[in-house]
Amino acid sequence: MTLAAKITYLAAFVIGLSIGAVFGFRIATSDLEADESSERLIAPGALDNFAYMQYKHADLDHATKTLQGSANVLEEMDKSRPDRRQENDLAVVYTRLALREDAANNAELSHDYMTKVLYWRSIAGDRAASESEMKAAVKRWDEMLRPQEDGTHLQSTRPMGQPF
Amino acid sequence: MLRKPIGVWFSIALVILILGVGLGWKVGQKLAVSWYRSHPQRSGTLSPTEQARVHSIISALSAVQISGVYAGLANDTNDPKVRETILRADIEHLRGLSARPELAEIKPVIELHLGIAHAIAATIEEQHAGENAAVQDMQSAQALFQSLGWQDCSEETLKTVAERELARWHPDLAAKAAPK
Repeated sequence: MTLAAKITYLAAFVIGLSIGAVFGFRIATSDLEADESSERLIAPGALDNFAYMQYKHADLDHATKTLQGSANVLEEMDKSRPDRRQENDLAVVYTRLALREDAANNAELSHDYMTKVLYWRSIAGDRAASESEMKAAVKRWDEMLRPQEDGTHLQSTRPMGQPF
Repeated sequence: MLRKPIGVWFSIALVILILGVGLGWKVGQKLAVSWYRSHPQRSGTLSPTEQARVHSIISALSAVQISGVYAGLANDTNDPKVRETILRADIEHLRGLSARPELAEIKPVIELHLGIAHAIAATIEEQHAGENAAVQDMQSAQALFQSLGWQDCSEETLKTVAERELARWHPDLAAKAAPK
């Protein structure tokens, strides 16, 4: 093999490798970003569904523990990438915690949770609402959009992160 | 006489170029994955380690959320073997997620969906003459919901939950059940 042939082959390999690496990197990065975006869109739905079910069916201790767990995960997700939808979901989870404490006659704890609700609503940039308005709104959303326990209304969950 | 060697050289160079592109493509993809993992999304306030942990939680939650699709597919198929395979695969997938230590924070969420998957499997198996499997799945579902503190873990309640979850992925079912 002549020197010219060696140089030609080496150049072809280097050029091919570079072109492939650049396009492979760019396309893979864009796919990964798209994957992450869709996961971030879908993931809060699992927490929302979980929070609703625990709020509706679990005893106070378990409901408090698991709803607080959901809130912690949502807070971490928001720290990871702030998103208005997550912040609204946080307000809903804390409202559910407050409602469970109301049902157990723990007014002080309920108020503490509602303070967090108002904080997350302000972070999300939503209009100020009173505690009772927020509680009524969550109850109304559940009645409107959640399926009834007798299975008569089988629409899906609240549109994720939608303010109310 | 000179044309032939040049043609051969050119063909070999072209093949090497194409092989180089293929190899570069794979290298580029691998670099992208490792770069993406070491620089998880950059807009938040978490450290890279915490970002990676939150990212794995988000991936798992996303997988959990769409697990209902498999139950819907199982409900649609008429082939009992395919149905069984889909239902078991969904349950095993959720069980695998539930056992992962880095997902301990969302274990209750995964277990709720695992419970729902068992309840759905029980409901579908009951309709398709799989009595023993239905009983076993319902018992597994009841155990999971009890561990989550559910006050009513009766078959009736869990079936309602299962049907509701199926209906989330099946507008047809929802339409049938909607009030006239």
